[in-house]
Amino acid sequence: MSWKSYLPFALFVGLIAVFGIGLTLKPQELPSEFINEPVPQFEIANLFEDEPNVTSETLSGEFTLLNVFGSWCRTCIIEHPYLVQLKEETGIRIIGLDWRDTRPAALEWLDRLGNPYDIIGFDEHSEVAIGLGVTGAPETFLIDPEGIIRYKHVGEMNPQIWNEVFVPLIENYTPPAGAA
Amino acid sequence: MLRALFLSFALLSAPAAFAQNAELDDATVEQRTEDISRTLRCVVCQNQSIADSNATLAEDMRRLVEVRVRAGDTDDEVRAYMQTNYGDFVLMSPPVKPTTYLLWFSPLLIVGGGLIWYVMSARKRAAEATGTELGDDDLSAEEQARLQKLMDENASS
Repeated sequence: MSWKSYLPFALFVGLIAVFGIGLTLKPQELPSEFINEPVPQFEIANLFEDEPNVTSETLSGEFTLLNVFGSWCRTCIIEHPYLVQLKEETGIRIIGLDWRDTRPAALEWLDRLGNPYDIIGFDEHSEVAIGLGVTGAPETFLIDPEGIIRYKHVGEMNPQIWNEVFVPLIENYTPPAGAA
Repeated sequence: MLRALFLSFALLSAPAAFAQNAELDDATVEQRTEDISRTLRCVVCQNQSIADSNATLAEDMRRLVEVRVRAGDTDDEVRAYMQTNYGDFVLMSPPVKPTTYLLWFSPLLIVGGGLIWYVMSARKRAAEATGTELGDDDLSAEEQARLQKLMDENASS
């Protein structure tokens, strides 16, 4: 038999390999366009109506987690206890972005589950979410003191992600020359 | 000639410049929002434009497109805005650049390869076809003698 008679079989094996690799990819997790980029400018209402608006400037100054959540989001309920625990243990500033939600639902949700957030922006129509390239909730951004986005985690926050990704990024941070 | 060219450019670009400053009427905004939305991919449903998708995020993206159109952005500026947020993925028609060359030109590559393969095999077939019409010159002296002998035997029987 000539090598040509093996060709269909070789093509078949090749296709299986391509499809196999394709199955392990996660096309719904878009890479963030903002890694090592400053937080885009925004100003948005506070979830608590009598508190001042939340702006992109609010996010710089210290290491900050920006957590996109909503009372409608199931995975957010799963990750929520960990955010509360993280706040208690590390004291890191956590800013929430209440996404596509209603105020009464969000307030009731926080009442029930606890509030680990220092400040919460109310993004009813995805203006900030789209500006940040958010595709789903929860998503958690790590923002350094200069207001530069260092990492975006899609899905629930958990101890493993925190210890393996976020902690090293914070510990290895060196302030840019000239910064106070 | 140059002046005429310049004039026509000036005339052509004038309405565009004018339209940006003037108040846009609702029908135009709606039409342009629709057109732009067709070129933007819904980022949560993979294979629909935000014009076709009922996903809530697509709804909000359409709203944002409309807001930006109303604010005076050009179509390309709106697309560029979405592209900085979501990357090339958000464009239904990905830009031609080195990382997408394979995507854009693989059809040409396949057709070109097929064409080369076809021409080569056609030539081979043609060569085989002419090879079967053997003339006297194609036989060796030995074969010629054998042929002669067979024909002689036939003739005598």
